[in-house]
Amino acid sequence: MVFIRSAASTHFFPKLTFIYWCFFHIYFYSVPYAYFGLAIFPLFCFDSHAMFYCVLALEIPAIKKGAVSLECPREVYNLLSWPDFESALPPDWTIFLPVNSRYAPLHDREVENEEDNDDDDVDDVDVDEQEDLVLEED
Amino acid sequence: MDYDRALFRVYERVLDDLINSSGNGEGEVGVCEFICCLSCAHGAGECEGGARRRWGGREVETANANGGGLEVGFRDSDAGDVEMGEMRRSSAGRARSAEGSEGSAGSDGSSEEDDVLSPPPPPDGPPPPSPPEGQQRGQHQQHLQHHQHHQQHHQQQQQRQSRQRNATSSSCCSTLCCSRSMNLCAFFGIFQLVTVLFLHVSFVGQGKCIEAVLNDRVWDQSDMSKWVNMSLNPGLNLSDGILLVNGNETNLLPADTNYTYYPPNYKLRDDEFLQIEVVSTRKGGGSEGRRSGIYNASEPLPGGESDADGESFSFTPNYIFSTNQAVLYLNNNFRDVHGVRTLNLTLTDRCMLTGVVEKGDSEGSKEGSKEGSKEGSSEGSSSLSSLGTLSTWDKASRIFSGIYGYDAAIINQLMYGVKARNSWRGYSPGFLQNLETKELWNWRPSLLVGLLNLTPFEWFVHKFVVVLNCAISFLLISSVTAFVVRILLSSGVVIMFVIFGCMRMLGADHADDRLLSLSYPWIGRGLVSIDTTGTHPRQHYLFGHIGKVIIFYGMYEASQTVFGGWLYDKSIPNGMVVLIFGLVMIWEVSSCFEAKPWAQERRRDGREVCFVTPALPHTPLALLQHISHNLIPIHIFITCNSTTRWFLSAVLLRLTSSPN
Repeated sequence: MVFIRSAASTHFFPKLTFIYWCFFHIYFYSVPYAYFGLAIFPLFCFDSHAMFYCVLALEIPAIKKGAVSLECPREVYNLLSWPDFESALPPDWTIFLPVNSRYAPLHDREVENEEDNDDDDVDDVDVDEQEDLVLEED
Repeated sequence: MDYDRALFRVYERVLDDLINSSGNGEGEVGVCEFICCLSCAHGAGECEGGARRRWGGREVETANANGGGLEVGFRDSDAGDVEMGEMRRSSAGRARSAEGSEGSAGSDGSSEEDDVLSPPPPPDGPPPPSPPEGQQRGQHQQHLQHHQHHQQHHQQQQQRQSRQRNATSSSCCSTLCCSRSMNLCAFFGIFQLVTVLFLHVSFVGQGKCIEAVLNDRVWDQSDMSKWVNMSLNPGLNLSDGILLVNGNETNLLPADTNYTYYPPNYKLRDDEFLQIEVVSTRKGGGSEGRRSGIYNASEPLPGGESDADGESFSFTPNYIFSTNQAVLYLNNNFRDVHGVRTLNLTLTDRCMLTGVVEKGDSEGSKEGSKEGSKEGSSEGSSSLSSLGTLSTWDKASRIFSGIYGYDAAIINQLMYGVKARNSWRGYSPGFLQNLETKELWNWRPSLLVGLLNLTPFEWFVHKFVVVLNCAISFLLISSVTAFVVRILLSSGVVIMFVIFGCMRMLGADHADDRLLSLSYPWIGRGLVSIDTTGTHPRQHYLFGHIGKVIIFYGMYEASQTVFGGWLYDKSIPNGMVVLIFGLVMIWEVSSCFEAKPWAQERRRDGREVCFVTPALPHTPLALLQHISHNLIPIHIFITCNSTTRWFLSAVLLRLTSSPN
């Protein structure tokens, strides 16, 4: 919720964590009794290592690139098909949905009809963003 | 009043740091700085010291100013010159920063409503074209002013650098901090993994030591006279029951029957009770010369036993074991009355490592063992030449077991070494208790059934079930934890409204709910509507959220018990389930990968606009920081977890305890 926001981290960290989880549980289920309590600490250390790695190697570049911003705090997300109040909490069942959308920074977006309607598009974007800001302030 | 202002200033600063830490990089307070600032030991969220980042081809240096603003300066890589500008943020500035990375700041350092960055002029750029003479005088004055301004900034920079040097000892805001932490985690993880590997190879699945001890030393002469090997005595009548020992039928005969028999494999009876003492034979451990064996099988030690050197020692059991759970819970007098036989076992770590009992310390030849033990006294144990020397692997395992304890080693010794009658392949159920920690373990033979002598198909099915269990446990635990984390964040923050209400009752009029309503709009909007319409008191709304938190957290605690029974249905170390749930909670707080971002959608003019629930990931953390100053949310959650767990346990214990 806090530190995993870029697309690379979102796809990398859960898989790595699940692999670590599987290693521990395969060890747990494969022997009647062993050093389970001690084996949790490598799991914790490696997961912490993965967290730090994601923050340092994946999140900071994403922030600098603008892929994660206040406008869209997560690079990949669930896009629902209906509007909702800004202050409303999303439904809980959305946590089981796979991500279906990806935010592209403004500079990475393709501009359609750039040669013909360049000025008009820019004006439209500015007007829309101003309207967004007005709505958010309201 | 001042305190309230200070709280508000801290809140604003932390909120700015949070926004910029996940913003477009304009403020250059990165995630790393955010982590370090949260864990910083400075009060009120201050994080002294600086951090440097590359921004727009320049190195950006950030430092917290005393006045509350965040100063951002640019350092040219070549010239090394630094100019610092004052950056103050406001809601308009945040909105501007949200437009994207292209939202570069202006150059006016006096405006308080806009984000202001004052980049220096390029030092090595091409010379500008010469202006007319009328403008040259004005430009000369501007250059003078700029030079004075530059000197002032240079002096300020020197002061700031000296202040930063003073604060270096307590500074923690750097990528290096996180990088070192990452390397430290990797190092400790590998070290712990190697430790587990050593201990597992040396102790897990090993039961030869206790098996040899029981087979060699449990029989005194009277007991041995009761047993007879039917293969050696085919003419006997089997009147008292049949016992299978390694395929040989044996029979329990009356005590006056005088036969000589040495059982090939001893099987523990239900009315036998083991007291186990684990001794370390390392040099300087105080237990040199102790041998594995059974000392006084039926009676308590009156005056202590003698070790290899003839010195008396007291038998201090560390574990008690029985194949019958009821026997384990009886006291000594009750066991004596009912004729439960107590066996005092001493196991050395050397014996558990090698699986060979020290020579000469058997029950019937203790005196001989004393002589033999002197030969091996240099090794710190009574072992003789038959034991050889410990390998480097065994020595390392002995060191690790001395650090991490012998619980798992003893359990494996008993699990694989103690055989019982009328059970699957002789393996017995077991009930073990550590007398120091009072920790209990139990196991059943079926645990071994699924792991020994499997056909390839059974092995494949077993591994498939293991992987399935991994996936199910991952899904259940992470989902439940994800729900709880979200409820703690979304509804748990309602406690701030209660706190602010109490502050207003105490006279702090500036503790207004508007601030909280802006921070938590999902609650603030509801309160505004309730105040407007007056459908019901606002306290009902707040208590509703509090009740939701309590109920869901109770369900979370209950799920730990239930999932622990479902997923970890065997004897495990104390607190392992809590550790696993705590670890998953750290994942969820860190990533919430199970619950992908809560995004919603607005459509306008055919465009899809990404719209995430505002401030959900940010403001609760800001308020938590606002309260606790230097505690990271993980600590808070773990503290809440443990505190609530202990509280509920105490309440339940109180409710379920009898009046007596």
